[in-house]
Amino acid sequence: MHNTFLSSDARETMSTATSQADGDSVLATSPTRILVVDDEPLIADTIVQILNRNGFIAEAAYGGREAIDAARRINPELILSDVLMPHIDGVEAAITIQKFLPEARIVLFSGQAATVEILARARVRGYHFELLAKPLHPTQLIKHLRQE
Amino acid sequence: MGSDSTKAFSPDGSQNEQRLRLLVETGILLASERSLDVIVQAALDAGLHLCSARYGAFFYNNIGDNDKSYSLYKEAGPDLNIFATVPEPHCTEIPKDSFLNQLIVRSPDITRDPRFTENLPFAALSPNHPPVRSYLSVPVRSRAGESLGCLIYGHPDVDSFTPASEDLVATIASQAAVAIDNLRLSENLTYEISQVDAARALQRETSERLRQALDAAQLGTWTWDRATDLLDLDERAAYLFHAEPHAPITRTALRKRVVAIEDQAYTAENLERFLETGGIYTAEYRVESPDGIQTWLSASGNATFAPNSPDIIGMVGTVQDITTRKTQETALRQSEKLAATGRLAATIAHEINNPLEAVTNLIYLSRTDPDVPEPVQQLLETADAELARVAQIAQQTLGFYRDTTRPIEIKLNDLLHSVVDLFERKMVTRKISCTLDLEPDLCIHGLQGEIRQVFSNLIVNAIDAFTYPMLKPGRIHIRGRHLHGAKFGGGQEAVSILICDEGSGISPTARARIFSPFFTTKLSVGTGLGLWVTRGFVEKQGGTICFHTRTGDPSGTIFRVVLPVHIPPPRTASTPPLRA
Repeated sequence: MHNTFLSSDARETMSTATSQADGDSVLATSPTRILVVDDEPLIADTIVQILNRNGFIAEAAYGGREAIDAARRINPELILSDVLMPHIDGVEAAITIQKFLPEARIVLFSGQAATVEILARARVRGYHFELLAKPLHPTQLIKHLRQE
Repeated sequence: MGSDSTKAFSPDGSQNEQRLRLLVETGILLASERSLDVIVQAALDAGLHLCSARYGAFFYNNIGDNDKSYSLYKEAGPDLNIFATVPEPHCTEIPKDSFLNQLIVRSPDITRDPRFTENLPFAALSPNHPPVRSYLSVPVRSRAGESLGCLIYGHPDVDSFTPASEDLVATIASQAAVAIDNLRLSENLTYEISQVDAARALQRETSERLRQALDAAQLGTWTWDRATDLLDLDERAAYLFHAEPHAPITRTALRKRVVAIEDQAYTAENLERFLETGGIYTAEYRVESPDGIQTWLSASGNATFAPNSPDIIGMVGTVQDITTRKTQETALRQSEKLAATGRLAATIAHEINNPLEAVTNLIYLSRTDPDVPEPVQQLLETADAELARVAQIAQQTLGFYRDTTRPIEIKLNDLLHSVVDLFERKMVTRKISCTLDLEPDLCIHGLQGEIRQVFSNLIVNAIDAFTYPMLKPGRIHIRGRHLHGAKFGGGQEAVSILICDEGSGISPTARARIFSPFFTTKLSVGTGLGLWVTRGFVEKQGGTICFHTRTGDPSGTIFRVVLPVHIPPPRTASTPPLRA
């Protein structure tokens, strides 16, 4: 129920984000394009809304495969991705995306301890990703994403 | 002597006197002699002279397991070599009367004696020698009537043995029997004495070994008499029970004096149950020394019974100090409890992190919606703050709060300053001042998020230690020092951080439990996880955490965290950390 409402809201706000960002003095330059990936649509959609309200241009993807496709399509500057997802997990998707978007900043976001091991595997393959722990208050998330 | 007279007993007075003297002398000799050889030889020789026989022999009665045989043991007479050809007579070949019926046999001419048709000793002598005609056989019998052997005499002349010589030989035989009997008795006695000595030696050795085993096992022994309730304690038992060894004391009195209050009922009931059901008595309980030191003892015992009766009249048993084992068991149970609780907590935290994230986001969206009326926004802000607390619990519990996932060099000076900064507002509003006294370059290798969590938990506790309203401004002091060499286990380098507050102190009842999960004194605001998680992180880092606290005036608490500079390799499962 929330999904439908929030998903539609997310797409809606996507188009209006630019106008909101105009008034935001922090983002004088063009707003950052963010791809939000989470297999729980409620989380992905709420984060997209929060980011869009705060001067970002965000879009949601609900799985690793979908994230790779979306990244090709919208060419995001930042990918905020859940880690543990079925089929293609966040780390696999991030590595794939990083290959065709080497400039993109990738921030992983997880509520599971097993994430540590997955990240360790990525490190072995030469990829160092930022990791944020769920739950993270939206204000702190925004603060973190605005930092370079 | 014998051959010159066919009459063994003549009226000649001097010969008679000579014989009596020989008899007496032989008797004295036999009575004093302690060698079977000498006894038999003396008896045989005396007999030979007394009956004036030409040949004499002593056959010894061998009683084997399945068989009886008679061995030629000694011979006497001028023609000793004639015995060389004498076969060892079997019982069937021997004068049955002498040996089996234990009668004296005297025959004037054995070769014509109708009583004896079978082969006899001396009857089948070498053809070079004149055959034995006169024959005298006298049994040697013990006092118990047992046949020891037989004295046999012979003479080539007919009718050479008189009733008088028979009597003399019989006297010699009885003297010999007494001597052999005595000899056997004395040998038996010697043997029995040696047996008793051996048994005593064995007993000594056994009891010595038992003592050594008891010493090695550090076991004390005790005996208890049910009727009088009196205990007898050996030295170690007395030491363990804080009593005098072998001083009479009743079990009830000893229990009341030394057994810890909480175990008094248990020990009394345990004894009653044992006395009803029997079996093996075992009990583990605490005792207290006069100066209040508590130790765990394990006592076990076996019932002693009245003769031919099932009634338990007492007990014998052992006692040992099991404090170390009990402490380890407690530590193990505690760590198992912690592990189980930790797993449970981690699982719960896992499951709630995602919904928590979603709800946090939803509340944020609602709260920041400009269309939401002011009162509702305030409600949502409260909800947001409450949710932040839930998030904090989840993070603490899961121990997932980390900005790096591998050990890095942590500058504790910076970290401590930043944590203090974080709580500065809180301290200012509560009129608490915080001072730091840190040696430069306090660096360790570790997981930054966890170490930050450790100190932020301790500082939050220090702030919460003050009771409000405060009578005077509170002070918190943080001190950091390098530890070198032997000050820390293994001689490696470490740092020591003290977090001191002048708060109200930790109550004695709370002290033992502050590191247990879900224990809190903060009632509505505490999670009961802070110090539990803190200790987990410190120990994972290879460090230690301890505290000193005072509730009297002046009150306060000092937490000391010692962290090795380098993180140790992970502990293996076989060596669980033991906490005192």
